[in-house]
Amino acid sequence: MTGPDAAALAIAADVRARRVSAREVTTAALARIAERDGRLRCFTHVRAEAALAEAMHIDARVAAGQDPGPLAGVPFAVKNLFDVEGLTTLAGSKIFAERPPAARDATAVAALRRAGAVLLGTLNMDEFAFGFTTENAHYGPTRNPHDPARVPGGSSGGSAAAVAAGLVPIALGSDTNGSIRVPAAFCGVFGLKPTYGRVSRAGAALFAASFDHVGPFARSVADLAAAFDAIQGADPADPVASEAPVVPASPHVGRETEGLRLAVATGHFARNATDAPLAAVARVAKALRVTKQVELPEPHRARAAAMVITASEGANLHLEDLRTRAKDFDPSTRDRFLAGALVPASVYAQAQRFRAWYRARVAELFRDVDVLLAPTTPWVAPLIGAPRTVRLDGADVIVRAHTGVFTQPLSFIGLPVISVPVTAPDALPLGVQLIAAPFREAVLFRVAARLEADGVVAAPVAG
Amino acid sequence: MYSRGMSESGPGPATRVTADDVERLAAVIGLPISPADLPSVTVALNVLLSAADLVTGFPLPDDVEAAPVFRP
Repeated sequence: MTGPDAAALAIAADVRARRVSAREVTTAALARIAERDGRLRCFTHVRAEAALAEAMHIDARVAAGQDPGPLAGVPFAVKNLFDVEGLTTLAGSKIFAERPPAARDATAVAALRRAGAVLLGTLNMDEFAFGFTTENAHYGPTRNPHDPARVPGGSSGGSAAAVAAGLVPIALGSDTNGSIRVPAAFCGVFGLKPTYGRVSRAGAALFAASFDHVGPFARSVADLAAAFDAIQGADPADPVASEAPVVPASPHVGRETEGLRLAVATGHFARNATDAPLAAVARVAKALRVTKQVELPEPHRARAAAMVITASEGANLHLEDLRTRAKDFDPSTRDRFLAGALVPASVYAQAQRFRAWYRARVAELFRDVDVLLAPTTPWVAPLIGAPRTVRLDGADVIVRAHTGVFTQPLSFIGLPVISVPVTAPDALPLGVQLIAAPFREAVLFRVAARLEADGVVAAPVAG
Repeated sequence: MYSRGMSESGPGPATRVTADDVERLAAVIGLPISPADLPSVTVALNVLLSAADLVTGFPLPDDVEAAPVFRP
């Protein structure tokens, strides 16, 4: 259980049974990173010595008859906006590189380590999480393991690519407008954006606090559930963390899906895209025998409101640096942050009020539906350095903005979503979003596991 | 300064504010914008203002209140 395709839960089972040591698992993962990451550039920091020491500590605990946790010896890595004790939290920026090292781990990082997982390092991202490509001007572009000429998606591009390439079985990312789901789709892995407030953001650099979520990536549904179960729950250190009772997801993997009310999102979610993502939704819908269609109310306005709030909150967060050292921002975020500072306050306030209206309408829809299907992205991963605009349905659309056309209307109101990987033969990966009502992640895991068991979705190691 | 425009398919790069407008707006909040950045900031603000039209163009009842997380 040291190969690139080893599942997290299989590694943990072997480490706990002393069939393999955590040190061997960690050594093998570090060797894979040394071999492949020079090209892929997923990692911005590899903590080789510390990880090996921690792995040996796990082995010592197993040898002493102690239980190091359900993720014993499982290698993982985190987007570099998470605090890791002793490392400077970059958030993909040059500006934060001047800051002192973090004094303690982010809550989610600490939770995975408490479960026995071994942190191998930190991962590349779009600067301050404002992008869908991980073409970072300061740290270089991360490459898609399925086609190194293409982007991995973003902003958690390093996280998705590291999991897709088999460098780690589990990674953490964050999602404000699609930053877990988009790279999960482009890299062909599973990505969970939990309900807003379900996983603590304490110790994760914020972008747009109204929508910031933390969540995991994995190559199997069971691993995704195990990672989610390790990190979900209340946290007084995060003002939006929910105190709703925790529902463990892992017991729902493999549970019956009969009787669940499923539907395909139509209208906005059946337009605005190339053919392949819509075909991926059709394939998943057919496998699940879904015939019902529902239309969300005003999703294009939800997306617009999400853009306004994101730009306003992001610009406000970085306003002092924008005033005094705008030249130190990544050119691909600088213009949008500066523009965000100029949005009239009344528009921001109206966008927040619209959010409340939209939440109420969508809640009505979920009275009759358990899981909704929608495409994750409007296209496959674009080439690195692709043109700024593309023709779609007879109009020019901005590639980096339109990439979030299907993800933004959902994170806008904090709905839980799993992006499941669907890959047609000889094609690049795509994602389908499984969407539920708030705090109903468990039902998403049931459907995702059914699709995985039936061979409809899968995340084989790339490259 | 703002001419209104509404896109059916979503926020697009329609031109409504000019680079001069952006410079004046930025000056109001003490935000210097380098000449090299002005064109792309102008494009980005026009995208946001198209989005703003979709938001403000939808009538909301007075009793719809934002849901900020503030627990005194």
